[in-house]
Amino acid sequence: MTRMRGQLVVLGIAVSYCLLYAVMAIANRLDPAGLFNLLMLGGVIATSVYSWRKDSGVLIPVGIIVMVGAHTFIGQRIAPDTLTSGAILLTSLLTLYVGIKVNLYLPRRHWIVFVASFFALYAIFILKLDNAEPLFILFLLAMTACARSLRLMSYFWAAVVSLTFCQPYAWAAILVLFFVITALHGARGGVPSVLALVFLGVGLSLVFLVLLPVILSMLGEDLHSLELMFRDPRIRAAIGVTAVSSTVSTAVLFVFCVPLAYALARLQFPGRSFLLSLADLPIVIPQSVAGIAILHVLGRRQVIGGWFAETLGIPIDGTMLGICLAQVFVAMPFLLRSAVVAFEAVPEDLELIARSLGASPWNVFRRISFPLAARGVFVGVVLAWARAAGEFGAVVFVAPTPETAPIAAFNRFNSVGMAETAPLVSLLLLFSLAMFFLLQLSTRLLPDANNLSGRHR
Amino acid sequence: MNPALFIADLRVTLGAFTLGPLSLGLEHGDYVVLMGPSGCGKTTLLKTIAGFMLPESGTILLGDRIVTRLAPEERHIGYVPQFPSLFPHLSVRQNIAFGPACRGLAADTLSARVEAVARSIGVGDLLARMPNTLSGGESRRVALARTLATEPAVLLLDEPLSMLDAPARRELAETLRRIQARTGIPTLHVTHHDEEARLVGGNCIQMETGKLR
Repeated sequence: MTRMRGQLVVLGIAVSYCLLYAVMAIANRLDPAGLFNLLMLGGVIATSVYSWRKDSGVLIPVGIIVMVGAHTFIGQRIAPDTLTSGAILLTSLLTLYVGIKVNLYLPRRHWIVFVASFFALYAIFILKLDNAEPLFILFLLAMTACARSLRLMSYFWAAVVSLTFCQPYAWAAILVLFFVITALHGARGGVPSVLALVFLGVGLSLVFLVLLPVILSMLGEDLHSLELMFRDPRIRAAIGVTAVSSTVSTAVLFVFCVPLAYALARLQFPGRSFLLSLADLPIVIPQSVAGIAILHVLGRRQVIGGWFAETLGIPIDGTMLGICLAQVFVAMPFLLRSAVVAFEAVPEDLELIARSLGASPWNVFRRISFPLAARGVFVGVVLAWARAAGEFGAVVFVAPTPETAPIAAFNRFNSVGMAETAPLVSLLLLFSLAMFFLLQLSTRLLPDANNLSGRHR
Repeated sequence: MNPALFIADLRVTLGAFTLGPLSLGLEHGDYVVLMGPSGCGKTTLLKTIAGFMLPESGTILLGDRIVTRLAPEERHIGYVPQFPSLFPHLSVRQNIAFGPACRGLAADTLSARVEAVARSIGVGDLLARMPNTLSGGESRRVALARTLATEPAVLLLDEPLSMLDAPARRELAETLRRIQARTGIPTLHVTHHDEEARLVGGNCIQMETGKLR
């Protein structure tokens, strides 16, 4: 009986609300918006009657009360005109309808999330989005569309929070949050481990820190300013110098490090581990120190560098050759390390069997060892290339000109400041990322020795 | 005329373990099963004959060639390891063709050779497959076909029938016996299983730690 009475109360409220609106509409001489509102109020009544007859519990009347109440006391006060107010009410009705469905057919937590989201949206609307009704309506529509799945709901809230609280960095925030949510939802161990999820969260917050400046810089500029920057001959030259020098450096590293890595992986000799740790030295040495050290040997006022410059006519500092030398120096550990690990992963037995089948050592390397290590080697190539292209500290001492891209960014920042450098930064970021992803992708196409190798059943 | 394979006073040292000195001869058409417990040096013996490790002293003769110190690719000895160790990035066809191609067989005879060998071992319809899609028994057969395709002077089999279920083991033993009867290739088969010698019908020699009995 009490439930029935409650529903009658709801019905009463809805009807009186309708009458109120009708009076208002007639007083306004029935403009289209007023008519629109009337139609919608018909919808409120129909929904109330429907839910009452279906006897689907007390939540629906409560929902209607809240909705109509909110609309009457808050929406009406905020909405500037009847049309907007009507649109809000219409959206609210849709929300109510979806809410009924969620309550009836989905697990309880969906319903809780849905209702909480609804009120939270209203709160955000009042506190944060003053007078942005269209946005609110859009949010509400999106929320009802996401109601089916908690995962969609979390994406929705990532978008809402980013758009309302993270201006002017909303898009960057959306990207990062979507990434985090995707990672968290996709996280699957054999047995779900709370610890692993917490660790993932901890790690992702650092990823956030890394991603944010990158995304911000990339999204901060419009295409036009990027294009202008790209047309600047000085910038073009710098990008060209970087592309050529880093590619040459990587090629040189490839030619020297791949054989060395194979030898290190296959031979045991005194001083092997010393050689391996020596190869890591460039990682340990501060890059500026490395640059000065190279200059100290190869600068044109030094003995060796002077001999190169005067006797051979090949100056090293301040030339492309110098840039490549500095890049080779700093990038070497990355290629060498990856290649050694890759070759060590190729079973030595396979090589011996290939030889016993009649293959010469060179053929074994060419047809067995290198193809199986290729993926790891190319990961090293990608890392070394990236290191070479991005090197600043060592290069700036050995060869401040011709300008590479990182040096161009530094010089520009020093001469004209942050705002003027931003488009260049975006451009360089886009270039590096495109190149990096391209190389990573090509790495994926190579056979993965770990996946293929003889796991016998 | 020397025997096809002759081993004289072979001594191999591997850390604390010493194999031999031992002597052994295989005539053309011989199928010898060398039987002994795990760790008695069977695999070491085979690997030394194949050239994967060098002996301390002694001589390995292949016909009238001294191969003791030759590189594996110069010996022309077929070694089928205990674990098939197929080249994982090559298809079955490429695996079988690897040896003959390295020995310079022309492309047109090569594919005929590969198909003939594959058929005789019973892997004719696996040629397009990749090694990681093969079952244990299939991998064994492909490894055997890969070795036989080089037409080795001697065949060394390391536990060829281990870790197979009973029907697969009987079938593979049957294949080995058939190949041996057809080609007469001298075969040294090591195992720790009593049953295998009977299955393949070879002469059995017992081995103890580092010594022939």
